[in-house]
Amino acid sequence: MTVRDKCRTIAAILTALLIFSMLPVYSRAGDGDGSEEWTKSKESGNTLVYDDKYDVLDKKEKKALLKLMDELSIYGNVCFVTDSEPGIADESDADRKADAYYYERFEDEDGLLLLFDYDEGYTEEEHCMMWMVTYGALEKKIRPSKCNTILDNAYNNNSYHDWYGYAASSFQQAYDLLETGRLAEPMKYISNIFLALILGLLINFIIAMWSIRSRIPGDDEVLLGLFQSYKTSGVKLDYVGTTRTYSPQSSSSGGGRSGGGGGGGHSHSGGGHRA
Amino acid sequence: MNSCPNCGGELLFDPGSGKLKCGFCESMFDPTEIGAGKGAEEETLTAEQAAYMGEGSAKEEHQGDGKEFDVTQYSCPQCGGSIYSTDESVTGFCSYCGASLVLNSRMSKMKMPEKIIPFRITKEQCKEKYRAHVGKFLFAPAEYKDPEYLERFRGIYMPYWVYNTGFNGPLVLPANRSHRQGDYIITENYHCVGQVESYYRGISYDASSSFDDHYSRQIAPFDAHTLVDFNTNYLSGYYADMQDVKPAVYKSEVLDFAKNQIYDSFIKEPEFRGVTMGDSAKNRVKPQLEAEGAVSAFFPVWFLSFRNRDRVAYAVVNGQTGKICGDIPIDKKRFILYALIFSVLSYLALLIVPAMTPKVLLVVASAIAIVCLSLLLSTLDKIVRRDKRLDDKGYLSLYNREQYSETVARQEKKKARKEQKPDPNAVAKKAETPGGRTIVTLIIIALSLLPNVIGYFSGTLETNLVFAAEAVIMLIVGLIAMAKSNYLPKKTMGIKAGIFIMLVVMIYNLFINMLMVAGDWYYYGGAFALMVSIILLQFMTVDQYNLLATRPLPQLNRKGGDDSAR
Ligand SMILES: [Zn+2]
Ligand SMILES: [Zn+2]
Repeated sequence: MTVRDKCRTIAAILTALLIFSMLPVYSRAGDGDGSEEWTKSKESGNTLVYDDKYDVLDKKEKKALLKLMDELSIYGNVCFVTDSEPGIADESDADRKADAYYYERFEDEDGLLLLFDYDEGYTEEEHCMMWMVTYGALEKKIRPSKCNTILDNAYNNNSYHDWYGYAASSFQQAYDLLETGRLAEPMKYISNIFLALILGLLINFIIAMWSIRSRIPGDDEVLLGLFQSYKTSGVKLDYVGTTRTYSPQSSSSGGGRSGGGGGGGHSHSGGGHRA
Repeated sequence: MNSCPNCGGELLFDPGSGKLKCGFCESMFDPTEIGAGKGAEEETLTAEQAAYMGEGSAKEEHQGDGKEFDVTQYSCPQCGGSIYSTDESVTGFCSYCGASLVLNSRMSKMKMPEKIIPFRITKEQCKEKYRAHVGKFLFAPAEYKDPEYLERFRGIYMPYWVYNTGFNGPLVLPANRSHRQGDYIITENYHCVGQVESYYRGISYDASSSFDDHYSRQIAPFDAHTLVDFNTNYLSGYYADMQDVKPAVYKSEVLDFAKNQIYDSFIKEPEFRGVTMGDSAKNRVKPQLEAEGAVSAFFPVWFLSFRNRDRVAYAVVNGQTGKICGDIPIDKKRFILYALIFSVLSYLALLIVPAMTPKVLLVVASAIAIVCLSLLLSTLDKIVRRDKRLDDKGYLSLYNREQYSETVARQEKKKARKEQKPDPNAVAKKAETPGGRTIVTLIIIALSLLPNVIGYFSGTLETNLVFAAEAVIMLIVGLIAMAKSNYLPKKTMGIKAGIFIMLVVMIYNLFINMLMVAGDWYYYGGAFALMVSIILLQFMTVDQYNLLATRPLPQLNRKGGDDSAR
């Protein structure tokens, strides 16, 4: 378990504790600050969460986005969250936020969450981290690298800081990916071409190096070509004496390993893009 | 030259039958019984030769016995390399530098060796074996398979020193056995005692400075059991090379070989089961050269050179066993063709791999870059060693005394270090392999990649950390390679520039990673630039590989006063 894993587990446990402690106050998290809107999809029965705390979309955009989310909801719950709470402002921070948000509401249900995390902590010019995370069955279908590609494409295919464009494109791609199992990944193809060329040359080299490997014969082979004889007589082991050296044994007997890794975490996968 | 008693035709030695064969009427004659080869001089020699494998006369070394025979010396006006023959023939090319020209011939005398292993592999067999060998190498230039060119294979008897060594006497080696008793370690001390009678006769090292140890080592071993008394008849139809390396040069290798053998056998005696020999035990084994310690002999070698501008590649085939040592340069057209084929296969394989984030791509590309840099470095290292013939003791002993003593000193040091190793039972059988350093590097990379792979699939990759480590390794390997390139015979700017570009790209990548620059394009850009620089580097490595597979033209003006013209 890496340090990061531990952190994540601890974070998850803390979050869980936090949620428990909050339960009596808010009967159900969600209507707390009034920005979070829940909709049940008529078709699939899954939940759409639209939570634009940072208020980046107007009414018209919101309506259009919810339509896309509704389409996507046949695969699971769909959340769109914008957030502006200051945090550590890095990928793991966004990941944690997204994770806690989803888990708080849906635990292990299938679903997808898109988070736009506006935080001054991110670099000055581009102080938003776009982050997409998938849960449950969707986790297998949209892996972190795919999330990353989706957001890359969203970023590259829309004009600068077109938040609606980013969000809509992301949901659309996720939908296409789930429908067709494919994603337009131009970067993957370009980098694969490079990698393939390099690997092709490298394989060549390894073959070439192997062919000039040294074939110097070993001693056994050399011996075969010699006149040789080895005879012994009077072979014996003479006892000379005994010495005692003081060397205290360490008294600790190892000690059992304590504790397991607490099962607080839940699995998820995610990927992000700074925008 | 011998003529056939039946028809007067020319008699040549026939490796297939081991007899002299008339080229005209195909009669066969025993080489030990036909006329010209048996001079009066040789009769006096046989008594002494008879002593050879046995107890031996009191003679130390058979240097300068003074027995000589008449030969024609063919020397190359271009490289100064000489071959010798007892026949009169016109030779249209030089075996050492590959030049196509008529060699200068003059009458000369050659010291008579005591023993000879006659050719057993015929030229046809040699060509066939070599063609098969080349066939296995995907990128071989067409010339290397051209039967017409392979006709130039020349049978040359190479001078060797055949050493006889052994150890007779008592051995007392300290040993012990220890076990723990509470807070004490109880050590029982023993002496491993025994009377050893052993000999190792027929250990051979090449005695011609023009015949690189690189080849003689790889076509080894020759079978000493097939040594016969020398007779000039065996030379009919073949050439010989001049002995010019003193037998003392390889004495320490011979003694070490015997020492290792005796020690290994001794510690395996059943009486010594369960005890551990002390550190210095091995050095108590002190084999000696026998009275007739070094015997001169001719060993059969098929020899061919391929000339490519100012470089030359050799094909060397053991004339007794058919073992081949031949470095084949890369034909670039074929290399590119196969690279494309493998690239297509790699591309298909990569389709299965999920898309990488730009950072992961960078980490992967950097790992490959390190592998490529290490390959280049190891190639450069081998070129430098080979061109300066740093591993060729025989050559150094004649032409580069300074380097020779350095090599000897280094070997001593290495030996001392090896003998300090705490576990004496783990006898280091094999010396460091030349590629050892590369392998270590590859292991480091593999280790650094392992968490990557795990991390990549479990989604917890610490890319920044791994990348920083990679950058450091790359910087080190790159700088070493740049320094190494200074010792290359020529054209070092290209390599330096190539490595420099790669390092600059890497520093850029390191910066954007450390500053956590936002925007994937910076990372993609860095990764692509790195990959382009890898491809550049790989093509440079092909050139270096070709330098490695070939050698500089020999400068073998052995007779003249100017020795190593370098
Ligand atoms: Zn005849
Ligand atoms: Zn020549």
